[in-house]
Amino acid sequence: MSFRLLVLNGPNLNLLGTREPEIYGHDTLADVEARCHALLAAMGGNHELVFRQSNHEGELVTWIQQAIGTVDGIMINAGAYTHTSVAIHDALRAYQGQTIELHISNPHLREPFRHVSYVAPAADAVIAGLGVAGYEHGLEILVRKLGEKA
Amino acid sequence: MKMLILNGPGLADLSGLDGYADITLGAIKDACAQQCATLGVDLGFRHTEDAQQIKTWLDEDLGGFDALVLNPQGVAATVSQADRRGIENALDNRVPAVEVHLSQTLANALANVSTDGAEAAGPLRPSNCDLGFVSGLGINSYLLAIKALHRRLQPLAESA
Repeated sequence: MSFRLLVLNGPNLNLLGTREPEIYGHDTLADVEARCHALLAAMGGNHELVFRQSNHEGELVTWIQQAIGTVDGIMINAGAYTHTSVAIHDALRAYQGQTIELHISNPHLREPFRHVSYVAPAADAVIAGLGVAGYEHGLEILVRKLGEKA
Repeated sequence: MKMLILNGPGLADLSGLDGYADITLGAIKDACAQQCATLGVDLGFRHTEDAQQIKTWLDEDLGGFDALVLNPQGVAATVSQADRRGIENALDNRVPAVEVHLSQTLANALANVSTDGAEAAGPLRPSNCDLGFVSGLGINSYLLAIKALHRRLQPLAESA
């Protein structure tokens, strides 16, 4: 059984590795993407992964809309849009596949304005504060959950 | 590597937990034990229906472990803010930890936000703890937490 997977990254994640490394670590987003592809290859199953980043809310919304009916599972780190975007919330509500909300740090331990998530109510699961390793852990569990439902 | 898994109030009977009614604490324990055995982790698995017992275990016993997995289910609903704060304080400056939940506890997150932005309840917020958060994956929430903590600590264990 192979699955079509979409990992979406929101604003400023293109700066991963250089932006506040004490919080987000030294790995770049390209490093993370490479490890996600390597993980899926090691898991077998010929899964298809599309890994994207945008600083633009509308672009993220469009990608979620395009995933409707074409992608089995989404893992989304919406960055700061997590705490503001009703548009992303609504797009994820329209998406019927499995959705995991992901954060590198734990937003609940940070400033109060990061305690609210508009993504979480539209997500099946939330993973936060596990560092960039959370991407691999999340992707592995997403494939496993999809396999259980198949 | 020694890992402590603490389970709080409400986990003795999961029959009322929507979507997870077929899960038992015994099944969670068995799955965690298997995961820890696979990774070579010594496991301490405990459960209490007394929220204050969690703080006691954290205060008195956490020093003997390298990492903590905590399911504080029921803490927000059953203890005072002062007691909740006591648990959060007991996590500060201790071992890496992950808060886990079987269900997606943030599914109603927006409903818990009042007009001034303050949350009525929600994840634990210790002021100085390396604390991750996993919810909505059923037993896999625990297994992911164990794996993540093991991965995080493994380089330290190898260099010790």
